[in-house]
Amino acid sequence: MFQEFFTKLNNNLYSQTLLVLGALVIFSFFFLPKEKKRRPEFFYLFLFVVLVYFYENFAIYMLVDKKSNAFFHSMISSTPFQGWNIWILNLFNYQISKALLLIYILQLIYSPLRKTILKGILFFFVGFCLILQVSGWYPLYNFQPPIYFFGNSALIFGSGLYFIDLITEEKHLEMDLIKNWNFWIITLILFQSALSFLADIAYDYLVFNDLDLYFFFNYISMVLYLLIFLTIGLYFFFEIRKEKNKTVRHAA
Amino acid sequence: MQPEASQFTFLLFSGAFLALLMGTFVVAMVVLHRQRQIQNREKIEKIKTEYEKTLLNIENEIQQETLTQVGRELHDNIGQLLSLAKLNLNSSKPEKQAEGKEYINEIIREVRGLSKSLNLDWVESITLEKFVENELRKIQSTGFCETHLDSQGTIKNLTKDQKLILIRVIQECLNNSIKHAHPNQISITISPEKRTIQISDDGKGFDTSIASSGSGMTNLKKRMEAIGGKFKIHSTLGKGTDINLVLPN
Repeated sequence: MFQEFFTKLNNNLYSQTLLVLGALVIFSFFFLPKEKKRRPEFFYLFLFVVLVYFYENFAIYMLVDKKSNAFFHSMISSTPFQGWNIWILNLFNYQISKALLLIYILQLIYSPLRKTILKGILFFFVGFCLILQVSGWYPLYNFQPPIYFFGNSALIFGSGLYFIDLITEEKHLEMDLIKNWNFWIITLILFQSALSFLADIAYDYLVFNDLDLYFFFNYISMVLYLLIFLTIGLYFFFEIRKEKNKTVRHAA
Repeated sequence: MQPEASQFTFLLFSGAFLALLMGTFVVAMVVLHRQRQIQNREKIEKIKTEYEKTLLNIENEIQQETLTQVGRELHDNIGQLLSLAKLNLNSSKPEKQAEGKEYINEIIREVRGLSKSLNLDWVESITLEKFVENELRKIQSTGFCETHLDSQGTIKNLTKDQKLILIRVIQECLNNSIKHAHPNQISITISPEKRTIQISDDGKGFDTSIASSGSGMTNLKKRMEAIGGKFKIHSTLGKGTDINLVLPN
């Protein structure tokens, strides 16, 4: 079974890169100083990386381990099992990871009004997901276009709020934007969400009329995800280096 | 062209377009951020200049008042003491000469006291509570009206500049009350926990909705804002005036 899992992994460049990059980012987090590990911006990014790392590999594994997949399917549905792993992506990618990124953006915003708006969106998103799934309108084991739409819209809107905050709040204006890693991460999140948003709302049309464009959206979205991972990794790496330099200077 | 090659070209161009779009977005954000930074720096500079101007004005006002008071003291008190000392020291009687020396000692004490009030170092040494107490005692001693101080301790963590501005605002409020309200009683409440100072009188009061011809109230408000505080006023015709000074944390 594990051999099958690795064969599937070997055939997928995105998953391979994610496996290596994700492991490096997770590993580097543990080298951060204690006070930085506790800081929400680092902690939420770490949680996000762990989550993506987990569900991407878990999704591949579920395609191989059909027995376990069927067991999970029987827990969330009474419909016949068809071998899909979409419920993993629905739950972890389209719901939990979006909520986590919204929380990450939320703690970077200073304006109380914008914070309240984003909190409202976050609660509404969570409530919306729960209602749609509990009521059975859009079950977890099937496509959930309204949740994809809402999740991506919320992230685009949240990123917008962050950028407005960036050019209006005094605390943001004190820093150098180019050296601010959060700015780069949220820019990538914005573009990734915008592409996913376009791909999801035009899914039906693209699949039947312009498959190239559909693949383009998916490929670029994957590349952007890898870039997010890379940026988070570099953020952690430079923070570790900064701390090391500080220690060396103190010792000198 | 092969389908795979065409797909690759499409991906390449679309990717380049997206990268260009992202680049434009980043550059636009950076430019906008820099512009805002410059605007913000200018704003901070303006506030700083305004603050320094306010401080300078206040220092001038306090020094002007101190000089008037020193002049009055020199004429009414020290001048009289010097005349008495001269009279006594010119006398041949030893007890008169001893009395003259006493007067000289008193003059030295008075002059020392006056010299201390000439610079603004006293602002640092005096507590806000003590200052208010002194001011109210001065008003009471003139017999103009009754005064009352209710203090639950002194307000801490104020810089010298903040204290200076606050002292001037309190003085102005008291002057306004004496000059315009003709009250029977003026009372001040100091709440260190809430970081507020409330100045109330039972005088004539006025309609706060009518804009005053002078700039007194606006000035007081601006001065409180300069130290990060707030100036709130509530007044009703015939029912006195309440002023609430909210201090910065």
